[in-house]
Amino acid sequence: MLAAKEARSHDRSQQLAQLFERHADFVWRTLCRLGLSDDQADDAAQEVFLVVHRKLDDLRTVEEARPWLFAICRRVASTHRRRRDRTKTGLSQVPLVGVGENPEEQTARRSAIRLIETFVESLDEERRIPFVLYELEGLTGREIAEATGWKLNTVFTRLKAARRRFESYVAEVSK
Amino acid sequence: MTELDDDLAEPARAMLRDYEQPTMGSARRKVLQQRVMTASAAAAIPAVGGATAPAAGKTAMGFKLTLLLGGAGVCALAYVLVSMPGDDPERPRAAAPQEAAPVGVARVAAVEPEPKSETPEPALEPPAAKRPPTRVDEPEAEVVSPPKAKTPPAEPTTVESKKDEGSSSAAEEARLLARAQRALREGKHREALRAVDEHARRFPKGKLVEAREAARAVALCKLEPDRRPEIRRTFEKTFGNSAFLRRVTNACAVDSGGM
Repeated sequence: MLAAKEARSHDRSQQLAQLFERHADFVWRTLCRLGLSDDQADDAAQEVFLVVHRKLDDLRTVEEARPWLFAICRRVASTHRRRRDRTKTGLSQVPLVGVGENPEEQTARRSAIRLIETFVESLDEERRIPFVLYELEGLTGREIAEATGWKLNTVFTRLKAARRRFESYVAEVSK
Repeated sequence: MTELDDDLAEPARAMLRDYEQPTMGSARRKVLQQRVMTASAAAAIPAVGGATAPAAGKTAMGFKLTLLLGGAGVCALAYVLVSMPGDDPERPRAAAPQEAAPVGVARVAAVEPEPKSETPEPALEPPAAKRPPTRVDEPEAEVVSPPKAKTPPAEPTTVESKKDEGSSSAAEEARLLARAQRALREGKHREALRAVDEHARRFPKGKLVEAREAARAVALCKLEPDRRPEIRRTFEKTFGNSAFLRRVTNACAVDSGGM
């Protein structure tokens, strides 16, 4: 009996480690994009993975984890935003790492990242979520619907609205 | 319609093509990983060690997880114990792992109760692994040789016994550091030092040495504001780029607000 419990715990730890390995960056980015500072995102990410650990039985496969993780991130971020005054947050404010081979390349890529992340921060949450998940993270419409609880048509309507804004934004910054 | 047509104008599409997902970076990732593994392990401590988890707070965190605390898993203990955000102060948290090394024990004589702190104590950060921990130099601290009797057996005879031994000692380490951290949060710095000292006596080569010494540095900086720069320098010198360094630095800043 005890051995079975231990084996189960071991499996859960391994599953948690696997999820962390694959999705830690996604979780952290998502939390930043949901309005947390990088430091807040560190704390919140820890909470997210603890929730994950507790609710591992709800997860079908590691490969399909992102919509599920996003839903958890959203709840945790909401709690954190209530806890603390919102200061200037988001990935456009975060010192980014791992985005280039040399200083010139890093500068160019960071610039692109900041442009897009600045745009993302300008969106309200209804448009930000589908834009980020669809255009930046590559989730499908169905996965976004699953993650948010929105209808598929709602996801696409909001995504289209975000796209039009993005086109205007790109036109503006390209002038 | 199951997916959306790609009707994005070309300049916007081009910008997205050039976009590369930002990452948190390897250092941050490593720290977070330690925190997560520690937190999940710490949540299981009551179940493993036989202690009763405090009822208050997030009871959902009290899921039972056998501590598989060899290597990276264990380490985390010190960290959660010291830095889990905004949760139940009674819940055990953990610190990061540390390779064993001789660590002196600083004994602080005074035992009088302390006033509660106005502001929460800065939490300690997870330790960066790999550096051999050494003692943080302390004012008026008596350095004694740590007793060897309570250190875990060096070579358990079986995998099971090794795991059991590791789990229970790691759980006890985590409990002690949780006590220290709770005391820090409540402004009871001498009590924190007593917990730290007890950890040092019982686990001189424990997994959570770096977290322990960070807690000690924080407590000392609060107790002896005049020595803050020295305490911080000593910690930095001893532990280099410790993930706890920022917390120690904050607590030991000259203008950090005293007690």
